[in-house]
Parts: sequence; C-alpha cells; structure tokens
Amino acid sequence: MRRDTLSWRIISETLLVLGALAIGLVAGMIIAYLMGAPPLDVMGTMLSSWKLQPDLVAEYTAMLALTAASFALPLHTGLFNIGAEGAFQLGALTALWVGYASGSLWLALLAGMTAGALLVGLAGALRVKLRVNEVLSTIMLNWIVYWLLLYIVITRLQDKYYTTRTVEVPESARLPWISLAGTSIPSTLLVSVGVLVVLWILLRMARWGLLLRFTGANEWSSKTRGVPVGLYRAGSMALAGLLAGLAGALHIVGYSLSIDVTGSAVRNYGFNGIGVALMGRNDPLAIIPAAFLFSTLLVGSNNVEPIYGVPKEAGDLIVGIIVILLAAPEAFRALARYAGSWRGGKG
Amino acid sequence: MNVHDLALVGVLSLSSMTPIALTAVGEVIAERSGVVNIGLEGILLISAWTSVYAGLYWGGWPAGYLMGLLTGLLLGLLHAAIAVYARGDQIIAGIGLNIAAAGGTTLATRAVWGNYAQSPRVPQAPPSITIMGQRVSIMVFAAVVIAFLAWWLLEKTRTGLRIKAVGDDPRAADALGISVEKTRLLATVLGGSLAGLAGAYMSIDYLGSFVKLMSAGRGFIALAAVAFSGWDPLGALLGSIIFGFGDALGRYYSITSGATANAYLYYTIPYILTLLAVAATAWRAKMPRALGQPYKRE
Amino acid sequence: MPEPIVELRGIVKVYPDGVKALDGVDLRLYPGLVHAILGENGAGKTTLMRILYGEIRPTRGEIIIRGRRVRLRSTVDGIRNGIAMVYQHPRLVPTLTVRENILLYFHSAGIDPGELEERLRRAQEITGFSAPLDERVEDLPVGVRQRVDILRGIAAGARVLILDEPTTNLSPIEVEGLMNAIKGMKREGIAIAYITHRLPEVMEIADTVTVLRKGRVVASEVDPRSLGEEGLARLMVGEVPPPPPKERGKRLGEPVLRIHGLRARGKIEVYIDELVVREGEVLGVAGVEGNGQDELVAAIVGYGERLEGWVEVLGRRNPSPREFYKIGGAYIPGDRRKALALFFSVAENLAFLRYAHEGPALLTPGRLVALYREVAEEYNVVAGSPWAPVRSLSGGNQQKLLVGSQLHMKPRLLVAVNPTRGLDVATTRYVRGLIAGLASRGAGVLLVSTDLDEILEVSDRIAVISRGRIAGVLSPEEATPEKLGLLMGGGR
Repeated sequence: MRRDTLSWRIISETLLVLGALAIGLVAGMIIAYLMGAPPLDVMGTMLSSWKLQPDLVAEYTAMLALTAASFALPLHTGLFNIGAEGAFQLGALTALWVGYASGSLWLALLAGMTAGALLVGLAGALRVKLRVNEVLSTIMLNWIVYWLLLYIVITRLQDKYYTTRTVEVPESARLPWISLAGTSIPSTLLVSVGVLVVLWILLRMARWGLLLRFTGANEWSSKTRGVPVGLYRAGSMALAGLLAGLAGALHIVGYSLSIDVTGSAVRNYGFNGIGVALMGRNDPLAIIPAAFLFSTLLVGSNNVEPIYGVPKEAGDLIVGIIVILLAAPEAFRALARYAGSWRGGKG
Repeated sequence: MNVHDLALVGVLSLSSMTPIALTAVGEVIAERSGVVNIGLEGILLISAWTSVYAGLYWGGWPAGYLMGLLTGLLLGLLHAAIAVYARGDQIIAGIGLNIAAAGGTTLATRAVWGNYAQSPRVPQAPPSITIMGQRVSIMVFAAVVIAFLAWWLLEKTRTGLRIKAVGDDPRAADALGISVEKTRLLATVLGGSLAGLAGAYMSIDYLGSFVKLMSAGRGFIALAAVAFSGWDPLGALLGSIIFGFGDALGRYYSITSGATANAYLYYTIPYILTLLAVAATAWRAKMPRALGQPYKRE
Repeated sequence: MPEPIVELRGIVKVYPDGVKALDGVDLRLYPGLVHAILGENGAGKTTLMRILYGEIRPTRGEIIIRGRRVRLRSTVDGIRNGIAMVYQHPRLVPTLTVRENILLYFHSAGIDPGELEERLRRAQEITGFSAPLDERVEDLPVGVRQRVDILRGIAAGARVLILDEPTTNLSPIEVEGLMNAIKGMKREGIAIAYITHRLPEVMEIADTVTVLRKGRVVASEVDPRSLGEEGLARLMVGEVPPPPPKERGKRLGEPVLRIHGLRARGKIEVYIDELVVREGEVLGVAGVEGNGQDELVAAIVGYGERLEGWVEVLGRRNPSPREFYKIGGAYIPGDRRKALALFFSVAENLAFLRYAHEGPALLTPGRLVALYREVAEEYNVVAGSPWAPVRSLSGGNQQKLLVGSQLHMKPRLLVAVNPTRGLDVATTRYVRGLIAGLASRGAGVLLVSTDLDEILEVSDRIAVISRGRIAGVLSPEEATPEKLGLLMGGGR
C-alpha cells in the first residue's frame, strides 16, 4: 500500500504531533480566557520565552531531552519507565552531596549517574526477575526519593546562612557556561545534545539498538534468536536511570548549584520528560526539538504568571492534555482518513 | 509502641485504607475487562477537587460525594474512549491524565480560591462514628460493602461473566455477540466512578478540604493492591488494609517522633511496604490475558 | 431433496482493503444433510460461513432462513436464528470453566440458564459427547474443547451447525468420535455445513458438495461419490502441473543433527530416543498439530527446556540459541507473524533475523539496504521499499523474506516448521524448491509439517511424531496414507 511508505509515516507522525500541540495550545488559550487574561497575549508571552530567557530555556531543554530519553529508551523494549522523576532527584542529590564533599566535577557526575542507574535499574531487575510491574515500582521509588530528598536536604545539607537552601557545590565541581549566539547558556545543553545523538546512533545504526528494539516489538522472536531479552530490558532501565541521574547531576553542577529545602528546584523534570518523549515519538533526535518546544512552554508559563495572573500550572495542564492526545493516535488517524476522504478518495 | 498505640494505628488505618480500597476494587473490575487505568491518581485528584467545590457551593457533603462520583464516571468514560474506542495506549493516556490533573487542580485551586496550596474547609462532614477519639466515616464501612458487591458482580452475575470473558479472550467473547467495547466501557466507567468516590472521600470526608497533590500516590498504591490481590475484589480489600496500615504507621511515627525531618523519613513507609508486598507476590500473579491490549476485530 | 433450512443468494464480500473474498455465491443447507464446502486456503469458505453466522456482514446478497429473509447484524442474531459455528480453534474463554462458557452462550441465545443441565443432557444424547462442566477450558485438550463448542451449540437448540476444518487438530480416534456425532445430529435433522479441504473426509461424511475457488462457486451440490476424490481435487485446485521429480539415491554425509534420549517439556512432554539428520537429506517430521513438534523444535534450537539427554547440532552438544545459529543452524518458525516484527520495516526485520546471533556492530541504512537487495533478488521478495513495514507485505512475501533471511546464512542445518502454511500454490512450490535445493547442496533439513503432501513431496525420510514420541521412521515409498495415518494416531 502507498500509505505504508517511510515518508508517509514521517509525515503522518509529524502531523499527529503538531495536531496534539495545536489542541494543547488552544486549551491553554481557553484557560487564559476563562481566567480573564487576553489569550493571544498569554500565548505570545509563553512562546517567546526562549528570547527572553535563553539560558533558562536552554537548561530546561537539556534536562527534558535527557529525561525524555530516559522514558523513551526502555519503551523500545516494551517497558514504561516512570522513574526518571526519582532518578533525576536522586541524581541531583547525590551529585550535590558528592560534589560538595569531594569538590570534583567528575565524581559528582559519576555519582549522580550511578545513583540514577541503580534506582531505575532496581525496577528493571524487579520486573525481569520477579515480574513486578515497572510502572508501579518506579512510582513507589519516586515517592521514596521524594521524601528521602527532603529528609537529607534538611538533616545533612542545609546551608548555615541561607537556610532556605542547601550548601552549593564548590567552584571546582561546577560546569562552566558557554557563549552561544551572543548569549551565555549553561553547557549542560551541549552535553545533553551530545548524549542524545550518541543514543540515536546506538538505537538506529547499531546492531545493539536493533536487538533492543526487537525485544520490545517481538519478544518471542528475540528469544528464539538467542537475544537475552531480560538483560536488554533490565539494562535499558538501568541506562534510563543513568540518563535521568545524569540530568539531575548536570542540573546541580551546571545550573542550580544547590537545592531549595522544598525540593522544587529538582521537581517535575522527569514527568515532563514523558510528554517530551511522546512528542518526539521516542526518537532521540526528534526528542531534541520536542524538548525545546516543551521548555519554551514551561518557562513561558512561569513568565505568564506575574504578568497576567495565570498560574504556571497551566503549563503542566497543557502538557497533560498533549500527552493524553498523543496516547490515542488512532483517533487522529481516523480524523485524517475522514479528512482525506473528501479530497477525491484517491488513496 | 504500646497496645493502645497499636490499636490507634489500627483505627487510623481504617481511614487510610478506604480511598485505596475503593479505587482498587474499581480497578479490579476494569482490569478484569482488560483495561488498565494508570490515570487513577489523576481521577482521585480531580474528583477530590470537584467534590470540594460542589460541597462548598452546591449543598454540602451529599453534593460533594455525588460530584466526586460523577467526576470519576466522566473521567472513566474519557479513559474508555481512548483505551477502548480509539485503541490508544492505555498507559500513556493514564500518564497524561495524571500530569494534567496535577497541573489542572493546582491551577483551579488558585483560580477559584486564590491560594495555591489548599481550598477552604467544607463545613459539614458526612456521618461518622468515633473510635478511640478518631473519626471514622461511614464511607469506611461502605467501602467494605462495595468490595463485597464487586465480588458478587464478578462471580455471580451475567455481567461479571461477560467482563471476565472480554478481559481474558475478547475474540471468543466477540464470537458470542458480546460487545467487547461496551463491556469494557462499562467496567472502566465503574472503576472510574469508584475512584471518584475515593477522591471525594479524601477531600470532603477525611481532610475536609482540597490540598495540592493530596492523592500522594494513592492511585498507584491502589494499582499495587490490584496486582497484589490477584485481580479479586476481596483480595484488593485485604491489600488496601495492609497498605492503609503502612500509611497509618507512617503518620503515627511522624506525629510521635517530634522532629519534622524525621517525619519525612517515616512517610516513605507505605511506599516501601507496597513495593515489598508487590515484589513478594507478583511472580505468582495471574493477570487477565488481554490486559492493556486494545481489541480490534479482524 | 427436502426444503432448505438456510439459503444464501448472491453473496458478495469485499473487504475494506479492496480484496474480493466472495463473488456472488449461492448455497443451500438442508435439514439432516451434511453439505461439504470444499476449497483451498483462501477460496472464501470461512468468510462465507462467518457471514451466515452473523460475524461479518456481506457487501451484497441475501440470507434466507426457514423461508424468511433475515439480516444478521451480529453473531447473536446468528445464534438466535439457530445457527452455531465451531471454529478451527474453538472460541472458548480459556480461563473460565466449561459451565461458564456454556452460560455465556446461553445468555447470547436468550436461554434460561436453569435449563442448562437438561438441555445439555439432550445434546449429549444426540452427539455422544460429554463435557467436564467444572474444569477450566485451558486445562482441556483441544479435542475436548471442540466437543464443548459443539455441545453448547446443540444444547442451545441450533438447527444449523457450521464446522470449520474440524479435524485439523484431532487424532484419528477423535475424528471417529466427531463422525459419529455428525451422524447423530443428522438423525435429529440438523443441517451441517462442513468446511474442509480434505478429500477423504468429504468422501466419508458428505451428502452433497459445493466447491469454491477464489470466491466463486465452481460446482454446486454435486454428489461426491459420483465425482470421486480425483474429480473433486480437479475442481478444487484447477489445473496444476505435477511437482518436479525428486532425485533419489543421494549420497548422504555426516550427521548435522543428532538427538539422543531427549526429554523436553512444553505443553506436552516429549521423549525422543534417537533421531539423526545427515548432510544432504530432508527429514520430514509428520504429525497432527500439538503432538510435540513445538517442544522438539524448541529443544533443538535451544530456546526450550531440555530436561534430559542431548541434542547435538554440528558437533556441539546442547547449544544455546545463539550458538545454534553461530555454528551453522537456521530456523524457520511455523508462524511467520510470530517471527516478524510486523510494524518494523522489511530491512530491519531482515537484518534482525540475519544478524541477531552475530553480525557487524554497525548496521547503517546503507548496509541494511544492501542486505535487502541481495535477499530480495535471490529469493524473489516483492516489497514496495526496504523501509515499508513488513505488515504491508503479502503472506507469501513475508514468508519468502523469512526463508531468505535464513538461507542467506548458508546454513548447514535448517529447521523449518510448516514453511508453506497459508501460501498460494506458486509460492508453495517455490519455497519447497528452495528447501529441497538446500539439501541437494549438502545441508541437512529437518522439515516439521502438518501437511502430508508437503512431507511426501520434499522428504527423503519421514519420521512420524505422535504424543511426544517418534512413532516410526519411513521412506517415502513405504509411506502410504494408511500407514502414516495409523502411526499418527498412535498405532503400530
């Protein structure tokens, strides 16, 4: 069939994503309208955040690209990793602690990655060895990390003078910023994009990625071909945790330097990454622009609040709506078929 | 901890158990039909919010409970529309609902009450009894009754037979003219409605107001209880009691330990307990064969 | 002939993808008569019966039941019009008990569940079948499930029974039971539509035959006895040139597969005392489905459990799946849909099947396309593009892709299971030619097939598997249908 060509698939996926985005933005405008704010101005402010705060959007893009990859990678093996949130927080906490104690950038990053990998890898191992549903286990781990973080932040890392936050990582353990197109942005973006490109090559160009993707697409066939399905699955979870842990660590050493005592500096990157991954259709390269879009939206919704009084949670709501829409591609395809039917019905 | 305190934790766990039990029992019904709803957490949160709104402005707790039920019903309908009719990815739809609910309810709290963190109190509480100085709502007992009713529905009625058939072998059910779509719709809506009741319980009954992100993972603990139960309503009730006990224990220690920071550590108890319970029992669980899989007639 | 109870007139069925499955088919079913509907795979037999049952709706045409024109909107309408259908794989809910499955059926038929015991007793009298009411269906063998399926239809008062290839999964003894039940139902005046492509069964049980070919009736209500098996075969298949002659008396080389004292377990337990495949030969393994073929193959390739004894592939004892392919094994599974990732592209599927065990670390698009070109050219795979999803290929092309991926490895041992199931005549011939060709170039082939024609056409030796044991090994010359049938049924 003509419609099964690669280019048709790419076009239809793109349309699907843009359609969901458009509906999400319209929903945002309706919310603004209901709250008595001018919808178009609100949207304008939201979408122009990358001009106003390029450094913040760059940082968000870097973080969301990594947490999105953390969701996308295990999904290729058929597993849902909701644990990027916990791995991000744990990675940040560990990196802060180790960075503070050792003063070493490399140790801080390594510690963050290891912590994340162990956390989500545990969920992967539980799934493979004991058939524990990974959605459940990662959510439980998220909550455990949530409270643990608050506990450690207050009991171990609180700053003596600035009591609303933890100590900062020392100069020696910080990642420098870079100049790009006349502005200064955190170099976390470079690291993040680099990691995603490598991941893309591994997934799409390497035998490893082909086997990994087949474990999700056809478990039985993988087993009969001698592919260690469990190892790939648990491994993809550990790697996913590593990516999210890396994101958390980068966020500390490259941007926030400390965590506030409510923990809000390290929250929601993991959950928002899920939306980014879905919007990027789980492809590491497509995730990068999707992360940029989401970041613009989320940073923008922060800016909208002081100007128009529309709470920043509007951004989360829009993200949620987009995710729900992306869950039901069949509905979109049905619409597309309907739309196509009056174009002469040549298809 | 002495005997009195242990009994106190027992009473506390009755209250903690209730939202988990209602949600889990509803989800057992939905999952027996083959539909997973990861968005339970979102349903809890949204219905907790709407029921407070209805309770404050439309007629006290009865309106609140009705609104919670209705909210759950509609969200169940939405999930069924995506999962059953649009044949979408059930997990992703649920994740989306959770994200939207977290943002949406906080947004709405701010928009309506001008406060991020919480709503005003709903003045009048539903009927209750007092055990050891603790308020125990009649909803606690209703939850137990509902669990038994759900068991009866699944094991003793024609509808129950149909639900199980479409969850285990939709093709065979379809060949008998049982509408896979309608049966799954019904089960998902039932599940959503019970989660809606649970949300209303948390806000208008147990706490008296809406608090930002108040569901705190209970939707997921309910999912754990479903897996733990082996997809049986009475097993889900038992699981909820165990998880409710963990919750109550955490709260008990956080109150008695004094220091705030230590309380944070104790709050992890229910999640650790849930994880351990599921890890210990998951390997032998027999889940419905067609769970999570959209059905499409060839 | 008596008045027909069911009459189908001018039935046309065009599927949404444009495939015309039925093109103006007429059919009548008479009370107390067995009407065989004969045709090859894809002739439209099952589609026609699903229309009569109400499961799918015809594009055009009329359905007349007991003189009244009816419109069947769903299977409930079919059931309530007294029609019962027994599918090739009985559609019972595996996790429910037999009783619950019957109750579900009664609900659809609008029958009071209180009448279950009595109606069932009556149905048992008619058919001679019995049913273990409180057993879970998944614990029952396929033959018993089919009996349950028939029983509940009759108990619900069906006057028309559709049997879709009913003997596919039955042992000879079970077939006999089925034939007796059919006779009992005939006496009750029940009309039976018997879908099959097996000629001996038609000769045995059918009162009248309608032959379908490519969606059209090529012979309507003919007497099977006057035409004979050969006449029917000609109607069913049309004109087909005879298969190419097989070279006999080849020189056999070293063993490439040796099995000794192997005990393996899957759905059933299998014990193979001794089995050898040598270079240059095709060893056919014949048997009714579910007699241990899957377990045997899984133990050879290495993804199944080996409890005792050993499998030696090209000198390596009990290889893991990865080793199996590495040392020169190849495997064509029985169900291509289970082997392929249907939503992945042709090129990716090919690269996976070819390189999963071992291959270059980098598989760039260029490399994938090169592999695709090589295989597509050599094995006549027709795909729109290497990046089209495998799902968009026809069954024949999917199978050629699967076979091609394995032959591309230049295997020294090929394990092939039902390699031509569901393929058209030309592709079947082609694939069998490839397998025979591989053997003639010195590789050993283990051909597991439920299709006796295939076994007889390609094999140099024939092993018959029955209830997890090798019941006997024959040369094609000794392998008369009677002898094979006896061995497959567990005889001596």
